[in-house]
Amino acid sequence: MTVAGFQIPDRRVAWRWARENLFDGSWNTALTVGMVVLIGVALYGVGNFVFASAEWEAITANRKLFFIGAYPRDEAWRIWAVIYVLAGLGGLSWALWSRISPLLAIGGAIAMIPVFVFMAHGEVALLTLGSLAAFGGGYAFGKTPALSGRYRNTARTVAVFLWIASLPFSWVLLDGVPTRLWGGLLLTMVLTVFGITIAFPFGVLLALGRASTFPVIRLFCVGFIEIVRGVPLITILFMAFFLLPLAIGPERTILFGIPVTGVDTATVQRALAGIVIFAAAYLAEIVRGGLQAVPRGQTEAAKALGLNTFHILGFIVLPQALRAVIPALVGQFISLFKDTSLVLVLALTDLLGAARQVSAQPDFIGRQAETLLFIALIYWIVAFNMSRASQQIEKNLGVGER
Amino acid sequence: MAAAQGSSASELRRILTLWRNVRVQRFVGQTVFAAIVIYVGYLLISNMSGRLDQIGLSLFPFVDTTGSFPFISVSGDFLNQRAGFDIVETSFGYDYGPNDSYRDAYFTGFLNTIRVSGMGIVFATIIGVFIGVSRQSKNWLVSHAALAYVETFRNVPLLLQLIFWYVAIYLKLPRISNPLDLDIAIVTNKAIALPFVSPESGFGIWMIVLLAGAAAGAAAYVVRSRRQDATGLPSHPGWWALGAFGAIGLIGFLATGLPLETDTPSIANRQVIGGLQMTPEFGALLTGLTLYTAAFIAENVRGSIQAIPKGQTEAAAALGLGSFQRMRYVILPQTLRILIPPTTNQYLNLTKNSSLAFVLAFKDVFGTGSVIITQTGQAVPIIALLMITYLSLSLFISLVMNTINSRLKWENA
Amino acid sequence: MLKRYIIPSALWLMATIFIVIAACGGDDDADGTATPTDTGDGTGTPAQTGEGLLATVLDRGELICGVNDSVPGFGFVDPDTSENTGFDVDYCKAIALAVLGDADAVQYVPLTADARLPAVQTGQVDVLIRNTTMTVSRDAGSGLSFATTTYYDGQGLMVRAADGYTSIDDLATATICTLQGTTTELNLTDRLPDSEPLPFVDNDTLQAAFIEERCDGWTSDRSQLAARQSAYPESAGGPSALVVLDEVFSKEPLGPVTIDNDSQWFDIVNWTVIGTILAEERGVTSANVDDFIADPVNPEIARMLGVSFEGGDIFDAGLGVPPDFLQDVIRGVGNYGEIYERNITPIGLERAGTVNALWIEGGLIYSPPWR
Repeated sequence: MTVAGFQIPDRRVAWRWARENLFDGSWNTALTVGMVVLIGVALYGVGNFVFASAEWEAITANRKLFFIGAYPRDEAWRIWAVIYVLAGLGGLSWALWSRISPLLAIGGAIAMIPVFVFMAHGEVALLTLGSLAAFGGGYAFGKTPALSGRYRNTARTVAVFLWIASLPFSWVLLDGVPTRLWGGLLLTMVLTVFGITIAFPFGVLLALGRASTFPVIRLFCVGFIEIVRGVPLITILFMAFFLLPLAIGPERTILFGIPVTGVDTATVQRALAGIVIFAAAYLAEIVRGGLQAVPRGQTEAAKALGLNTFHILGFIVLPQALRAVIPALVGQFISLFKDTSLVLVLALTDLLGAARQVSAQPDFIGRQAETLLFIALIYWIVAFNMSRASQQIEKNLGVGER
Repeated sequence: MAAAQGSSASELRRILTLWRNVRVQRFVGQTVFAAIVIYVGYLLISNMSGRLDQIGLSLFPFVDTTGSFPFISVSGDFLNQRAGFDIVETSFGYDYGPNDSYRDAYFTGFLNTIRVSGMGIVFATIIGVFIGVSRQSKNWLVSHAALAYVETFRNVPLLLQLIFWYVAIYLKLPRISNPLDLDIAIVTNKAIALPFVSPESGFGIWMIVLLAGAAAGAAAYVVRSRRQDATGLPSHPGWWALGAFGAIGLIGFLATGLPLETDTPSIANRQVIGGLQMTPEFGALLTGLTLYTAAFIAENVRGSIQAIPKGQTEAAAALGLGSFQRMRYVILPQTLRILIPPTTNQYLNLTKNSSLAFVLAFKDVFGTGSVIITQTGQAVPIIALLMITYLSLSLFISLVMNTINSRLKWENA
Repeated sequence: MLKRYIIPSALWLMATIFIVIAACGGDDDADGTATPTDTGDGTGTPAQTGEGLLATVLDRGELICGVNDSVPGFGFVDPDTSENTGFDVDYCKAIALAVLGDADAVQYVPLTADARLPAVQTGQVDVLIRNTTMTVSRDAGSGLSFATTTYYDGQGLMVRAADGYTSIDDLATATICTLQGTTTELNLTDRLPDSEPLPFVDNDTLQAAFIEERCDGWTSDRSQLAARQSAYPESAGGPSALVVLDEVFSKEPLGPVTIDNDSQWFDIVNWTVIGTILAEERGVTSANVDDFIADPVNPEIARMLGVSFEGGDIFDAGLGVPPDFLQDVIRGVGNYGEIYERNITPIGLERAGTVNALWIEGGLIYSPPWR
């Protein structure tokens, strides 16, 4: 017998548990009764809406819009290719680094979302199962004796490079379709993943700059970080949208007197630029926390061994600092994942934009509650599981225990 | 030159040692860095102004390069032009109409931002502390309901929540043609109105009396708390202050001839008139901001309660304090010190997030700014102005919270 | 603190700035409004010398067109096909045909009312065709140029029939939904100063609020109101539940917008529009354009289509595109009348007898001579 996941062996124990946790004194009993009524009313309201008054056809008729926006169906293989590559890499990495496994499990869980939604589409369900197979293949490959034994470290290095290479690879592959057609969950994921990975090196540099002993560099980094953190993301998106093309627009950029063909940026790239600026400042603060957590003695010992500044940073300080902040980095990822919904103001059709498009279709007008609840569920699944994963990693890495 | 020729070897050594000099290295390094930053900045800005010049706009419309020092022209700039658009919902009684200038419109939006952020901060704190304390409840249902609240609200984008509150909750309130009239309050999706009071003659004098009452209350507080510190007897400074203020206020109210009139809302001509009104746009924004931020504050509260050693609770229990008293007098005061820095961050987030009002028809400073951009075409100065506005707000909140924090530390030391 | 750090760093910073400025001094003009286009080799010289948007578009092989995506009839995304359709979209295609000879070489950028003008100013779009009203301040003060008006519109007010409003003055103190950042928002406060405008950023939230009776009236260009009325959901009573009040209280000439100071590009956009009007006037349609190419019945048609008239020279007006560009345009999207019939007639806006009829039929649609 289980009560909400708690293993309860028999009735007497269950009664004792209830008495200790729910009916401990008259005040607690009153509280319990009140909560039961409240929860009952809430559950009835939600249940009534979900099963009786809601019309879920708005969702089922627009699956494609929610997941990939206007991305052409014929070109959807590009997305699948990316998912397969990432799934394979994920499986490999799970085998190589057991301690970060929760993060990868979440990636898998996110990949499973389409299965539930595309139940009706045999093809999509099949392809999703295929990506699970790719994941398993990667895992099996990583568990082969050679990779888990002798060549483990080499394999890890190669895997890291593969992860880094997978990003430009994914972009190039997806870019076979113009970015203006990207939409739905695809766009949300692209903006988040590319936003945070491109911002990461800048964030590290800014954090190092903030900790620098050079006052000018420190001043610049502090100024950048604090200004970006002091204003809303939406103003930064506006800035990227309006000012970026003025600053680096086509045919007008001059570098040291040499004319350079400027960059003709579409809205997606501009939004990404704004997100990178924003995320870099927040990542810098996270990394700074990690840098402060590295004991001074480490640097001093390294200096005493005769290592130069770059070696100290690269081999001693940063590995420890970044390890300590992995949970915070995941937290930033979650928050960015939610914040990308602001690209709505630039008329991009991300997951939220897709929901608004659906509730504007003549057939489903006024169905905002259904569409919003549906995408809220998707956001929630991703964000909640990521945060659980980050807690697990925190435990696995033993952060804060040393 | 001539002297150097003879000793080129020693000259070379001198330069090399100079190059190896840490101070020289630092100077050169920083100068190169700064030069690159300034050059890139110059490049971007000149690109921008070059492009704007071509279409007859200026990057810095406030800067009058032909004028005299300090090159800033406030009198002739576009913000003084007639705005022409109306903002119905204003704050703190600020009077704005379409005949006022863009500057006034911007200020109206700014006040709206302050109102929604201020109220949001107050409500989010109350709800956040409540939920955070509930998370620690011994009652399984209560603590898990609080957990469900936190996990639901903080894992869904705020923008989505705002739209949801607006279109799925506030717009679904009774329509004006079929209002929910509770005699004292009116609920419609045009406005939720509560009875309120409106000033009559003598209101100004009463306000002055109230100020005097506040001063008397403050004095009573100081006197009583000194007594408490000196004698150790419970002297209830808060109650004394409230009593003094209340008594003086009441006497003044009667003496000035009841300068307030009850203002009951009513419906006329398909509009809700009178009373204290809240539009659905403001309501959705406030609800969304409050509930979202409260989830984060609740987590901060839980974390800081957990940081208090268990012995404190046990000691308080041993003294015979009940669970409420333990929380109120022993645990919460101690958590404040840990709680304030992360909560400050949440206040800053709430203020910045209030810019999401753009999806609702509520004109905060960002919404007003973006209308001015469209009407005037001056994107660059308005974006700069918006950033300065939010930076100042952030600085102000940080300053206030830091002051409170350092006072607390000092008192507890 | 002040003496030890701040003053030296300030001096140092000033010195660095000085050095940088001195280093860049070569390409600075006297008044400080340096433009990078002033470098000695003159490569960056704008617009006039054929380096403007025409060259950019030809290089790119694609026209970037700012459009609406939520006004049926003018600019709308068909939910079934994800294709942009509408009157304005057809004019994007016409320009793409004129410059690139391919109606599909268009990148549509959906823009909100707020973002549309900056999008042109910053060069995000080559041309904006999105129900944009020509006004003097937009034309003169915002760095924009308005081409020939494609649709003469006027602002109207739409109400629910059940509410019983019969004239605009009945709504003197009513709540009226409008779109933020439009001329209609400004006209509304001029016409009904005591009303309560409720400005939304998008039509869809606005419609949700209107259906829920959050506002009593909905003001916009009458074409947009008609489009919205025709698509009003049956669950809310369908089109017949709405009435567009008779009074038109503003002039809203809508037309393509380009960036200022690129006269070559502006001319191409402008004369593409004029070409479609002239084609209608002369009876050239997508169906019969090839007959006219084979046998232009009069010299003007020959000049317009860039073909020889009775063995004479081919007329080239010097627009910077091939003289026969209108052939592709007419073949691809048709003349003005065809574009109107295809897009605007279906949303219930008849053309005959309105200002949008040809001038020879009593309207305002008029083309200057093609010579």
